Amino acid sequence: MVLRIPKIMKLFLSFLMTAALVLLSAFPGVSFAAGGLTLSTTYPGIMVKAGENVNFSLEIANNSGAGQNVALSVESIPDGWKGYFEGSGKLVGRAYVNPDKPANVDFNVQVPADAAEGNYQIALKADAGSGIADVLNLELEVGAVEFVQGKFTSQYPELQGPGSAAFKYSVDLVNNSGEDQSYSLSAKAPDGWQVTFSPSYDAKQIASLSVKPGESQGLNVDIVPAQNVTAGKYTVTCSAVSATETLTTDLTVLITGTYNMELSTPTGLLSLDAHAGRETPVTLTIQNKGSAELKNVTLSSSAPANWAVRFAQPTIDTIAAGASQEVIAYVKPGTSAIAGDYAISISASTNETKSQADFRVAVKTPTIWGVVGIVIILALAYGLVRVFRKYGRR
Amino acid sequence: MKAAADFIRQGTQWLHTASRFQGSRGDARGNTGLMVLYHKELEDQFSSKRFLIVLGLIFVTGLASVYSAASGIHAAVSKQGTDFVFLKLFTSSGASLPSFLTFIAFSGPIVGLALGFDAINGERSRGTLSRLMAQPIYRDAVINGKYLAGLTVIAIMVFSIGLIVGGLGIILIGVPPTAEELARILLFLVFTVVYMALWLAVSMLFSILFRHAATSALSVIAVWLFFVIFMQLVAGIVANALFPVSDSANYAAMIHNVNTQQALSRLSPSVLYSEAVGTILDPSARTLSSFLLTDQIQGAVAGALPFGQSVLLVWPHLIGLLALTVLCFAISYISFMRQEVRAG
Repeated sequence: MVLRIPKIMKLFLSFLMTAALVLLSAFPGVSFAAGGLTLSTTYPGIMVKAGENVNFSLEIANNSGAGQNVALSVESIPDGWKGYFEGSGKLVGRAYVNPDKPANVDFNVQVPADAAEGNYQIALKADAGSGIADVLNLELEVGAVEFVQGKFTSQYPELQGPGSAAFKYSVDLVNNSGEDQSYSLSAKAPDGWQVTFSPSYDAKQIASLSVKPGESQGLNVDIVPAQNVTAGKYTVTCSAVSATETLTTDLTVLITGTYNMELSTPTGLLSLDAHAGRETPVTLTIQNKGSAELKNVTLSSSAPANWAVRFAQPTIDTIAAGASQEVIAYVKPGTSAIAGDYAISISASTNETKSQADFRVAVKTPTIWGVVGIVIILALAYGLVRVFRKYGRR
Repeated sequence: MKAAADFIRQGTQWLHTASRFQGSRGDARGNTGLMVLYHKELEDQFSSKRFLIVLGLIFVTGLASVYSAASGIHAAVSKQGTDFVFLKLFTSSGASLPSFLTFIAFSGPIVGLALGFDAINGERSRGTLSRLMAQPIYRDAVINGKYLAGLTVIAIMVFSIGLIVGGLGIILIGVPPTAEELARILLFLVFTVVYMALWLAVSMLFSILFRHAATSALSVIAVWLFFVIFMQLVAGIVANALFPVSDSANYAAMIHNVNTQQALSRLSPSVLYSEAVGTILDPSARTLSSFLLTDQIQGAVAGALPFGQSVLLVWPHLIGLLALTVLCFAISYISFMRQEVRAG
């Protein structure tokens, strides 16, 4: 539609068009002829892969000055390819375009999996009738089918918490290949750890799953550390293995140390017998029940005045997590302590935690006085016998 | 052959020892006299009106006090808890009567005194002592037999009243005693026997020292009154004289005063007895001292002492009472053996 117009005519035409525009603005409603509709997209030429679905965002601009009911159609498309218009999630065939506001329509193209390499053309047409129409040519270049690895990633691959916590990771598994993939899931974790996989928004534990080409599946990975885990950094390698690919992702668990210890005796008995002014040994056990090493465990005691509590080892340098340490304490009741029960408490403390054991000390009278009493009785009996011997039998 | 000879020699040696042992048992003939006297004395005691009166006195007061305690036991239990409720029968006092313990501490000596105040001088004044001496028995069999008979009577009396009171207690409060309570009650009864035996020894000593039964009776009653009632007053007076406690006195002076008073009053057997059985029958008593220092109280947990610990606490008291008894008996023995026994 190329017109050869002399220069003078061009000038005249431009004058006419200017006059028409002035008229148009003066009298709206007067329809204007061709060129009133523009069908466009930002990237009309793209590279695709065989088997891929591509999407073009189309924009239909209406310059005709009046609203247009536009029919959308595919003028030409290579054999075996499929293309359809989509607007607001629906398949559409027509679009209404306001004069001042362009309409947006998506055009989806399904590239056949067996499409050969090369350039392909697709022509789309927007036709409002009465000559107002536009055609958009799309150019798709099908590239070599290269094998693209799927993706197995997590947005937050490193979580932190105490050893008692369960760690929940969100992992995305993306199938980038051209066909369905069935992935079997597994994890390599330290001994005693439990790793389970479940789909997002579903509590089922799964061992394998199938992902369609180009799709992504959200997964939850729950990691429960071993009961006796100590503080530190642990890596759990999760893998999704399909027939063609092996995807792995490393999830890192940072176990923060928990500090917990318990002071008791090997038998759990928290009472002891002691004599006033005499040391009595009692074996204590300090058990590290936390997940971090305890450092500088200091033993101290609270006892009545004039009592003495001494420890064979007043400070223990380290107790490993889960380990326990025995210490002998020597309890010496005051010399003026009376028979009966007294309460003392022994505590072990570190900078982080503390444990206390309350003991009941039964102070006993030394039996030596009982023996002395018996000796006195024997002496009396002997004296009586002597009296009998000396004065009796007259 | 040599072995056989050794065997025979050893056998003869053993025979020699055995015969020597039997020779030393020649005294056994004296013991027959003792047993005769002992049985005769028991018969006399049990059939005497005096015994019946004393027994009646003890029984009536004992039962009355226990009955009164049992009727007031609910108040005692609600105040002090149900631990050792059976022992509270003996230690808690009812509305109008003092406790069983107080009664025994006060009237127990009377039993001993009544049984022994005329043991020797009674025989002497009746003129039967010289006749007794004429019998083919050793002289010490008289005093030994009398004392043993008195001791037996006391033991029978104490244990029977203990059992009766215990039985009455079971009926009244419906709670059987635990093993530990039983042990404590038995020890209490043993203490009571020793305590009465001491007074028996004292009264027998007086019956030897004084020729007239009336004199010895009055003297032992004086001794009894002094030790049961006045000794504590005297102790207080002496302690106050030695360590005067004024308003401005410091703790040391007060402690000295209290300690002196306690030590002096412990010279009285009735104080010893009361302290001891009070501790035995009250397992929560942890000390005999009348005051506690702060460092003794600090950290102390209220609770019952084990039986053994209670015994160890009052062990010196038992030894002291026993020693006094033996001492009194030994003095009476010596003085009796050295006395002139004339006919008429």
